[in-house]
Formats: sequence, structure tokens, C-alpha cells
Amino acid sequence: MIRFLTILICIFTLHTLSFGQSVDELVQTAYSLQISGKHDDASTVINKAISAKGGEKNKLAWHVRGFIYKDLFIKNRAQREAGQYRSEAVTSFLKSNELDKDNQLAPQNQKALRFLAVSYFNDASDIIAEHDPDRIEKAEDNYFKYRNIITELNPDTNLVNKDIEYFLAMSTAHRKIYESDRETYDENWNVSNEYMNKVLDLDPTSFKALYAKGVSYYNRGAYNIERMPHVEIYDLMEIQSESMRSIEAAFPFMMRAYEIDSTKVEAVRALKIITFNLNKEEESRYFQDKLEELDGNFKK
Amino acid sequence: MKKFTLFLSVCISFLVQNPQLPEMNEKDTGAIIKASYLYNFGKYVDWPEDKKTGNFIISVMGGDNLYQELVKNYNSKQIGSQQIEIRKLSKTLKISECHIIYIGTEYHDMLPQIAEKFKNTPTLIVSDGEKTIANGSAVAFLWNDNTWMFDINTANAQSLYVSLTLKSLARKVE
Repeated sequence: MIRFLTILICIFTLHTLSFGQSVDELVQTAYSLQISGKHDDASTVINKAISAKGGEKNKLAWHVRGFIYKDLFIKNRAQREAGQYRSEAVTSFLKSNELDKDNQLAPQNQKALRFLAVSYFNDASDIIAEHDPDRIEKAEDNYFKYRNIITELNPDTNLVNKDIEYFLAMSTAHRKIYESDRETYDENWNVSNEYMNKVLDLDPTSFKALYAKGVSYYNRGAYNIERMPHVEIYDLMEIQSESMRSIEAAFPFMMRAYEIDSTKVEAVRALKIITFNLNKEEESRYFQDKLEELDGNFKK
Repeated sequence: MKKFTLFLSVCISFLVQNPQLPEMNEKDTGAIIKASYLYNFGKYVDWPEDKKTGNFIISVMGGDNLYQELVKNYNSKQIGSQQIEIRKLSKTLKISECHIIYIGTEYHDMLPQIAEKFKNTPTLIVSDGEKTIANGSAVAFLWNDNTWMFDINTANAQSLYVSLTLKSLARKVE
């Protein structure tokens, strides 16, 4: 009963506080609630402020709203609604920034936006590291939110290297999902390669992407052949034909990787293996010799 | 809380959490394919009745990877009611009776003598390269259009019945 009365008094007080107040007064009230740790109440009041006449054009109202939702996001980090709070915070800071013609609030808005952008980036990174087939696509959403904020803050920011890093990581994650259960997650093999294509669109000389694509095609072919024991002869011929096409497809990617950096032991070893499996004995011997030149540990 | 602050203060590199260079799964796919062919030859070639009891013996001279593959995946498996037994041979002509004998490229020089030894016996001689057919192989593996195929010479397998299925799948039958 006492609890019920307390809630009623709080609601009444809040209503009294906010009713009839100007936007500035509402902002002030919201700010006071915010610094006293009453984030939910603060959000109710600040939303009244931006809905009030003139509130939508008030840079301070949006600025304070950004901090209220940023704190709600931090406080509820592990909860489902954290995403919504973060999104509201970003919208508020961007709006405040847009209205802030004399750059009065810009440094604080931008600092907060960078903080939120980094949180999106790190969430994307964590999701990628989980290799969870049910969650992996959420990384995309988080990464592009990070990206949008950064480009919004500075349209000239060059994010090519970050994009490459992200596409490579996504490709690796999808490949690992595929490798965890090749039957169930066969489609992830294609997705992994699509991310490699995105890397190569940005940087056609990416050693990592070319090497990974070569390995991806080779491993797929080799795996399909490896699981062949006891198959009927018709299936054997069909599986072999398809698998060898995959191994053959690996060759040009690996060769290109080797041309880009012929000192990389991984590429030389991969070419030795690929050519061996394509029955190109001379080429395989050539790469074996190269391998021994580069690293004595690979001596036969 | 400290961890949380640190977590949010800098972008964690994707590279740190995800090693980028994938591992190459080194395999001798040729050996795997040939082992599977040998197993299927056992099913699609008919041996005389007196060879349908006891173990089904596959002898291997050379071709180390193929031998390993056979041992790993086919030793103790069945062909009909017979249990498969894989035998490794050194370079010798003292070869016991077997159902299938595979001669690797490193021992091709011995092929004519081995063929002579098994002439008119129910042993299927298998080797690599189409030229080995002329030296006594009944079946020769060959690399054709980026796949492992096989040729058959029925004259070198006169004591055996090679099924039509197997003949229809061969690249060439003499």
C-alpha cells in the first residue's frame, strides 16, 4: 500500500513538474532527474520537452535527451531494450548537432557520438567472434551503424581499411560456421566468398583475400573427396568431378596471391598442394623447391 | 565497470578476434579417389567361386598414400561376404595370391614380370598411366580432363568377369 502511494505521489509530482512548463524548464527538470540517476523519469520529461511547442528545434533539449538515452543504454547494456536506447541517443545527438549552428554543443555531441559508434563497432566485433549462425547477421547492422555515425561526423573519413578489416572478419566467421557443420551451413561458404569479393572490389591486390579464397575453394573440394569412402562408383565420379572443379578454381586465386607476395610461405605451400592435387607434378615440385628455399623446415 | 569502460573506449580490432589466414587441409585427393575406385572394382568385378571365401585381399606395391588410405578407410570392411584385407608389398616378385594388386608408378619397371606371374590367375592388376595397359595392367588410372578416370583391358583380366557397369564407366575398354 505504502509502495502504491509512493508511486502515485511520484506520478503526481512529475505531472505537476512538467505540466505547463516551457521547453527550457522541462529540459532543466529532465536534466535534474538525469543527474540524480532517475533516467526513466528523465526520459519521460525530455520527451515531453521535444514534443512541446518549439521543442523539436531546441538543440539543448536534443542534447540532454542524447545523454539521458546514452545513460539508459549503459545502465541497461545487457537488456533487450539497450539497442533502442542507443539508437535514440544517436538520433538525439545527431539532431542536436544539426541544430547547433554556432557549434556550442558540438564537441560534447561528437564525443558522445564517437563513444556510441565505438560501442556499435565493438558489438559487431563480439558478434563476429562468436561465430553464431543465428546472430552473425546482426554484426552487419552494428558495423554499418558505426560506419554511418563516423561518416556523419566527418564525411571525408576514409573507411576503406576498416571496411576491408570488417569484410575479412565476416568472411572468416562465415567460413568457420560452414566448417562447424558443412551440411547444415553450406550457404555460409558462399556468403564467406561474397565477403572476400567485397574485399577484392576494394583492394584487388589483397593477399589475405586472394589466399583465403584459394584455400576456401581447395578445402571445399578436398573435403568433399575426403568424405567419399564407400560411395558407389557413380557417386564417386560425380563427387570427384565437382570437387576437382573446386580445386581447379583455387589455383588462379592462389597464383595471384603468390604473384603479389612470392615470399609468403603459406602461398607457396598452398600452390604446392593445389598443383599436386591437380596432378601437375612438375609445378608441384617447383613449389616444393621454392618452399625449401624460403623455409628449411619444409625440406622433404 | 572498469572493464566496461575499457571495452567501449577503443575499437576492438576485428583482426585480433579473428585470425584471418585459413588453414589449408593438405590431402592427397588422388589417393583417396583411387582407393575408392579399388573398393568399387571389388564390387563390380566377379571372381571365380573359389575366390569368394576367406578375406578379400588387396595388395599394394608403392603408392604409400594410397596404401594408407586403404588401411584407414577400407581395412576390415566387407565386399560381399568377404572381409577386406590390405597388404603392403615391398619390391618383390614373391607375391601371395590376392584379388587385386595395385602397382604404383615407382614400381612400373616390375609390371611386366608381375603380369606374367599373375597371367591366367584371377587377380586384377591395377596401375597408373594408360601405357601400363600394354605392360599387363587390366585397369589403368589416368588423369583426364582434371579427373581420375580408368581404362580397362579385358585381355589382361581373362580369369575375371568385368561387369558392364564398370566397362560403361571406363574411359576406354580394350
